[in-house]
Amino acid sequence: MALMKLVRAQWDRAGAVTAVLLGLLALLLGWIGTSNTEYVAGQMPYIVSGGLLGLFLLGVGAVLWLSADLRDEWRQLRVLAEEMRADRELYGSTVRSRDS
Amino acid sequence: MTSTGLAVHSPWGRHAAVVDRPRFSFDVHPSPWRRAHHVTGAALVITGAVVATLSWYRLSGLETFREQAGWVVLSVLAGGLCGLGFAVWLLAGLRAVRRGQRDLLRELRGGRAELKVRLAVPGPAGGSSSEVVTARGMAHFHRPSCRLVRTKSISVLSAADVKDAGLRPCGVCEP
Repeated sequence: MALMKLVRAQWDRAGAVTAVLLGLLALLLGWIGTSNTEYVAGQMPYIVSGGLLGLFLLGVGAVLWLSADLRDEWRQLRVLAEEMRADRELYGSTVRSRDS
Repeated sequence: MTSTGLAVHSPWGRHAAVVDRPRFSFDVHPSPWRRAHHVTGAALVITGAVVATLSWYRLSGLETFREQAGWVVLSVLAGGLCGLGFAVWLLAGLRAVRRGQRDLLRELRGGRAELKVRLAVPGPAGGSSSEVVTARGMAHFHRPSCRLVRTKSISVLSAADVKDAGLRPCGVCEP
């Protein structure tokens, strides 16, 4: 249950890990297929499907992880702005009470 | 960042309130990406994926490497197109975050400068005689307008606070 909660809260990072694992699996399957084929022409489909698909999924994983970091930074900016406004209201009321 | 006095929409719902405060892009949008960024990134990635799949399908049916070579090159280019789509999308998000940071920093500096000016201007009788301030590490309490606390992060003290902390009156502003 704790794992499901973590996956729901961190869906982008969970997706990144899944994509990287699938990418590694695709690379492995491509390598197995290539190593069992003698002719270069027969190896090409494995290189394109296994190799390129594997690299694509590794890229998806990296992008998802980086986008999760960017979303975190975006939320932190919102929190910082709220803190700044609260400080400003506090200082503003201090100055107003001094001036009155 | 947009102007003040406008409706602010919560990213978690359709809650809106008219407030008099600066609005930043991160106050309004739930994520750094706009619709155009999603569309551009997705268009490049989907095009690349379709071309790569087509290349794989065509080269699988060919018997010699000489015949396949063109399709292999095309599939590599399609992979590059996917990478370009990812890069465009990520860079758009990164730029939005950097822009938000710059806006926030500018607002923070502007507010601090305004506060310094307002604190430097004495109140109706040179500052309220009952209101005193101090800053961390200081052994004295001061008037809010005292030049010794002008550059410091001050906290307002009551008479009881002054007594509890054992602070002495400043010799410059003589609170």
